[in-house]
Amino acid sequence: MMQVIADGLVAASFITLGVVGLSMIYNILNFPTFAQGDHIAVGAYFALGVVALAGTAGSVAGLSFGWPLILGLFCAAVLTAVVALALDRAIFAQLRRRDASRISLIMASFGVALMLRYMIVMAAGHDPHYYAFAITPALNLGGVRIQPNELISIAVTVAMVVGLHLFLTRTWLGRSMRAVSENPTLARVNGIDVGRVVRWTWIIGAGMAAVAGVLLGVVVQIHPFMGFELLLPMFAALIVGGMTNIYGAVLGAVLIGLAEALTIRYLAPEYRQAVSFIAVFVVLMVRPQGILGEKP
Amino acid sequence: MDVLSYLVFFLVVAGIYAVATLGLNLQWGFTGIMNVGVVGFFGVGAYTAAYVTGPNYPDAFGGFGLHPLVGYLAAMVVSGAVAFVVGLPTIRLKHDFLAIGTFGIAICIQLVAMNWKSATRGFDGLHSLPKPFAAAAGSPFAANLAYLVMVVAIILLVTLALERMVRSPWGRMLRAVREDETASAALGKDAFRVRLQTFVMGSGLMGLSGALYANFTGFVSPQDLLPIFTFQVFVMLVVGGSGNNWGAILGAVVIWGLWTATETVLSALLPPGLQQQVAAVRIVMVGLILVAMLLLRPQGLLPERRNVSPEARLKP
Amino acid sequence: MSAPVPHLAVDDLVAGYVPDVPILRGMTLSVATGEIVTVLGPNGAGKSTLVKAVAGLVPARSGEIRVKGGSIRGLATHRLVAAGVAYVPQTENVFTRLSVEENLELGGLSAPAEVRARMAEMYALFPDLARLRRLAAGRLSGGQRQMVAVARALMARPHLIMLDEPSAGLSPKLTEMVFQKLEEVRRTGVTLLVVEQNARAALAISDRGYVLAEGRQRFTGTARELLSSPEVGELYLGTRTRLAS
Repeated sequence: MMQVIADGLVAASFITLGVVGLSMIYNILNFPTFAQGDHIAVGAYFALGVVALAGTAGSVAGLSFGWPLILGLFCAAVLTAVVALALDRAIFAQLRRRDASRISLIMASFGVALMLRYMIVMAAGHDPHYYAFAITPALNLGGVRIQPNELISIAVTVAMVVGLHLFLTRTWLGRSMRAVSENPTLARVNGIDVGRVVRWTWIIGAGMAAVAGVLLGVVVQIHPFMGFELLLPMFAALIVGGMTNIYGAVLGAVLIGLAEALTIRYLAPEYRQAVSFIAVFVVLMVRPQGILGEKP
Repeated sequence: MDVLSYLVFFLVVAGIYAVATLGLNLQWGFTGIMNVGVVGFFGVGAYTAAYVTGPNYPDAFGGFGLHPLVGYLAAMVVSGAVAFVVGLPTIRLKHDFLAIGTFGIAICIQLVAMNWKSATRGFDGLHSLPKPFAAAAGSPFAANLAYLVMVVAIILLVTLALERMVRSPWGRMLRAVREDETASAALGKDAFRVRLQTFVMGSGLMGLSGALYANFTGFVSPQDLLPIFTFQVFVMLVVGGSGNNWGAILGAVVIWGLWTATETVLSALLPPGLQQQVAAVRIVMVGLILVAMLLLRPQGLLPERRNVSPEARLKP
Repeated sequence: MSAPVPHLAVDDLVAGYVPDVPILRGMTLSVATGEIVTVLGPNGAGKSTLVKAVAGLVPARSGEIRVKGGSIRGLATHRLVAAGVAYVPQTENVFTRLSVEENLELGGLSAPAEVRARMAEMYALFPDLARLRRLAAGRLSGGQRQMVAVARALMARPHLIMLDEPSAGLSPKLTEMVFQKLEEVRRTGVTLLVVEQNARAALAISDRGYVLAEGRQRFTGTARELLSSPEVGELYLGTRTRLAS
């Protein structure tokens, strides 16, 4: 059972890093972007590019990666944020200016998602890639077997969520984001530049997705559909958590991660994505506002 | 003769897409409800038709060998039923929930098709499905031509029925529901009912499209259930003109034409062995078309015909 | 010396959400420094549109808006605070998920260094809020919320504050309390422009008033004149009764 919890937390770490950005984008831009999964894959491939340029993923402290990949992680976060900003300026901002319906925004994001995914295929093909082939021995923590890379993923995720929490509650920009997510008009009246908040939302959302992609690439593998496959679990976590704040999303991600680990262990691994969808369904029927969501 | 037989083949496939696009038009174009899982309902229809009309597979859930027409009806009913189950909890909520819910159901359906091997034969798919007219027509060309006539007849029937429906008082209610999410909340139960009705009917059409596909190719597999299908139908509707049934049909023909033309051109231009890249370039190109249309001509090639005067619509 | 420059001057303003469908059709108004001016009018007259256009939330199609002589027409809403103008919307005028204190902090976003001192002043002006400061604003009563909304707007030290129907949804007793507070606010040196349905309560604290109908000025005068005008009474009550004698 402890093993399942550990596996679930590892799965939850990738979902968390993706869904936190999805939740912020949803609350500030007012639509669920189907491209968030592919931001994850784009990030993983940017880091792969840096590692390829360096010629090695390096190695520090007995891990399967080192400074080249750590540098790649930063580059991936920055470049993915730049991609998201460029897409916003070229497409989503134009649609907002034209007062396009939410359906148009969802549809455009679905198109952007496919374009990103297949641009990766164009550049790197369908075959999976790895940052490094080194195999690190699993640690044994009181009977629970866990890879050092997996521990790092959980640690990075916890650090980033805590950092984001401090950012949202302690900084002016973070508070502005919370204000815009609740009431954009009132935020503007308060002197908040909504355009600036939107830009930072994409930067943080896509940047964290890129980190998720690199970690997922380190722990599992890199392939063009790696992010797309996380999209449904992320949406499930968003709905389970109530859609309105990142804390619900994080809790949702942990629940979905555990549900996936239980499915892999006791049911059928191939239906892992379906489990999160059924979770969504049950939540919608019993509690449409999610677990931490407010009553509509 | 070669060109002609290719044209017939092309038009049949475009027609099959057109049926699904008409279904999406009823949902999105007329009622403003989002369906990001078009391929799921298409897939349910295709597999239903395969079971109803197919031979008795020794290693899968058995075919009943019934007439394709029975398959078409069954596909519509089963796809509609799935839509009912998905729509019931999600459709009264905001658009986002239905978008995510339909996206999820499409993935689940693909997972089942891939993995429940004792029922679906996994990636081997269900084959040897009966093709109507194949025996009677004599040659494959004549059979395809007959199939085309049938598909066109079905499209005309569906379009005329839809046109009548959307011009009825019921159809005006659809638009009321679409124009304003909050105002339609005031319509309460009625808004919920018409949304669910159009969602079920539109998904039934997507199921019919799947059944037409299954009995045309004689084969269905999880390869037919990729999200790209949903994306293609989106683009067809946006390009053709959402809210206009004839636009939906035009969009299906135009986009399927572009899709097949680019494959021919790119395969000729690029060195062999780059098949993956050809497919990828095509998707990126069609994605650009979608985005360009949404930005530059959101009303599509054939815009919706409005019953209300433009001035009346401007008043907030 | 020439006449003093009005604090807020709106000149022949045409504004509306959609081009060619103006809601405000040529409105002229001025507010002198230190005044309380009320804008009255039946539903749909364009009262809210007037303040929203000044706040940059509804596009002004023609005409001019000046604050202390400088044009602010076309200014982005988020730059209004820097120009010293605050606006309190009629509804959804507090961040319901944030605490009272966080609401006030957001109001002081433009001058972070002053937030603590300014907040103390607000708690002195609205003693109830000090007690409620940890509570989410969404859990407050209507009157308390209105206090939070006004305090939040005052945090940025505006010299002009515009309020859209501050008495909406409040009991007569709370309405009286809100207008009392607005008078206290004026004594701190702030100029007020108030849009109201409740003519009696608003005119009671106002210096002057404007009555709008169909997007244009119908009457204007001192508060006393409007209260005793039979035409204004008719517009409001449907009979030629004066609002006050």
